[in-house]
Amino acid sequence: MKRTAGQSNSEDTALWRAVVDQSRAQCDLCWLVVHGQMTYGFAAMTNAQKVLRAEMALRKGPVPGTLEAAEREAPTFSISKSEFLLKLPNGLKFHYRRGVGVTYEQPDHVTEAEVILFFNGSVFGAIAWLNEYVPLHASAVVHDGAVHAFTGVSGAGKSTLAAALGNRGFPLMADDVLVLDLNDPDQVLCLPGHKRMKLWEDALELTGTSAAEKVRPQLEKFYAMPTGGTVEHPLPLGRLYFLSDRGDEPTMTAIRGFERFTRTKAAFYRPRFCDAITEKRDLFAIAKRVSHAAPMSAFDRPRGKRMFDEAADFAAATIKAGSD
Amino acid sequence: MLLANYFNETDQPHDINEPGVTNGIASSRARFDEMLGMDSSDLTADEIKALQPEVFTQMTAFSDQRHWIKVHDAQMTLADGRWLFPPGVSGVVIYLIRNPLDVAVSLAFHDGHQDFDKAVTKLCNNQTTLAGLSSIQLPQIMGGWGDHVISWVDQDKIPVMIVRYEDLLIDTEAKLSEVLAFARPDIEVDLEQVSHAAKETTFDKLTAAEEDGGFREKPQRADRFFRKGEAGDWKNHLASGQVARISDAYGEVMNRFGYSA
Repeated sequence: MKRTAGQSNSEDTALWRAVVDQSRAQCDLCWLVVHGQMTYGFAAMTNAQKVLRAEMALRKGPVPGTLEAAEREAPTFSISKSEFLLKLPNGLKFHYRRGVGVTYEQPDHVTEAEVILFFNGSVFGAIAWLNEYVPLHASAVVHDGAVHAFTGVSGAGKSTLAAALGNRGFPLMADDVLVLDLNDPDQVLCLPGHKRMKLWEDALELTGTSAAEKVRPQLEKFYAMPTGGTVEHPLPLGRLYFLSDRGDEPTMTAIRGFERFTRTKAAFYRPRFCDAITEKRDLFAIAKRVSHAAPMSAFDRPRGKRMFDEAADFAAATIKAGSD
Repeated sequence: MLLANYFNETDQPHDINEPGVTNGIASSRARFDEMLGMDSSDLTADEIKALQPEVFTQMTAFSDQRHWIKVHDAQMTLADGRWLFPPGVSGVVIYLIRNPLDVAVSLAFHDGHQDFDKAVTKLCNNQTTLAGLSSIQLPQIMGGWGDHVISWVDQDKIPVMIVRYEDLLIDTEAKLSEVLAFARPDIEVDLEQVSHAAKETTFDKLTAAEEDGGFREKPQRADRFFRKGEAGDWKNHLASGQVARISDAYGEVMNRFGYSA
């Protein structure tokens, strides 16, 4: 079931259905993962969406201890040109092979919620890189047919801001990981991503968002549904925002020149994955392409309760204004 | 900042908001996530702590490049006996120590409440931890002031040089030279550059730079990061009961490093 270049949409459709059917037969959980996030009709999906869905087929199965031909190995992960291995500290393990999908080994004490949580993080990111898509560490909302993506390291407040923007009417494109499709030479397309935001208790309180289930039984971190609706079809990248929290009041500063390139590289999700499997010149080309795809702004705002609503209003107004 | 100005290859003062020679802070969540390929914000505190030594090992695994890293954490052994900061990949430790009475005052302003009782309590709490699971930095177990000192200066796995903040104020150039000679015995200390670094890193200059362009490490809750920087300011702020609480808890460690109430 390996995907080949030039495969037609109808072939992709058949491939995808075969993988999903096979997965359903082997594991109910994978059906939750594949189907639970997708309300968009399959026929209307782009090739990139179909490929990713097929590659994300998930089933219980053996996970190797190491990868042959690994390009990079750490105690917690290995990556080669076509495979990815992830070992979590709770004993959960994943193995992805391009064209085959993902197997996982789940110790008895690990819940299905934890399987989904880690699958949707690093495994999802690795699958994107290994299939030549570009995952950004970003949460993104949609305005006027374009995607506004907020990027920053873990803890920078991406999901919290996305939740606040949802409260202000912006539909959610993706939480935490935004995958870009660069295959169209005329535009950089953003693919719809995870729709359940992950928020800590303080972020729920700040945004007035209702908590759904815990992401893990051990953490006071919860899934939350976006209040501004969701978007399920690819859209072009409208603007990329880089989050920081240095100043005493919200500011938005246009990023220009070479800094756009360096900032783009910093926005990549799991850069050590792509460094390991991508030639330097290709990495340069990817960063250059993304850095030219849309305007960029540095969005600095104070964290905490006092200025939170003001900062979110400021971001909403900037998105609507559509300029620096 | 002293090291940043020492290793600065231009004649200009180091921009306090730019990364200097130090490779960030040991508790960087971004580095953890990058090195280990997983989201630390989906892990428990124990899982993070158990994996942190691997972060430092990974940093040094693929090159012989040396890293200066700022550290808040106390050194400790983990449940399985491994050190949080693995001796095998650690070069040396420069332990910057300051009179805990002044630390209490500084902490009260840094935390933005100016409640000296609260600061003294935090300083004397052997469970004190910086940051949390939802913070941009990983949780850092500090313990109380004396616990922290002992954790580093009395371990014998990594060579330690103790630098008293008060001595650094008195003769910055001499202390910086000692630090460089200790940490980098392989290079000759450039005394001209030492002098340049000391000149560009006075407290007045740091304060002026913060006033001019802010400082990225200033907590939102604090008015400023570089406040006073003096030795002995505790006499202007702490009540006798607050001084006694610190002395009672850590008098022995204080005496050992020349501090007294």
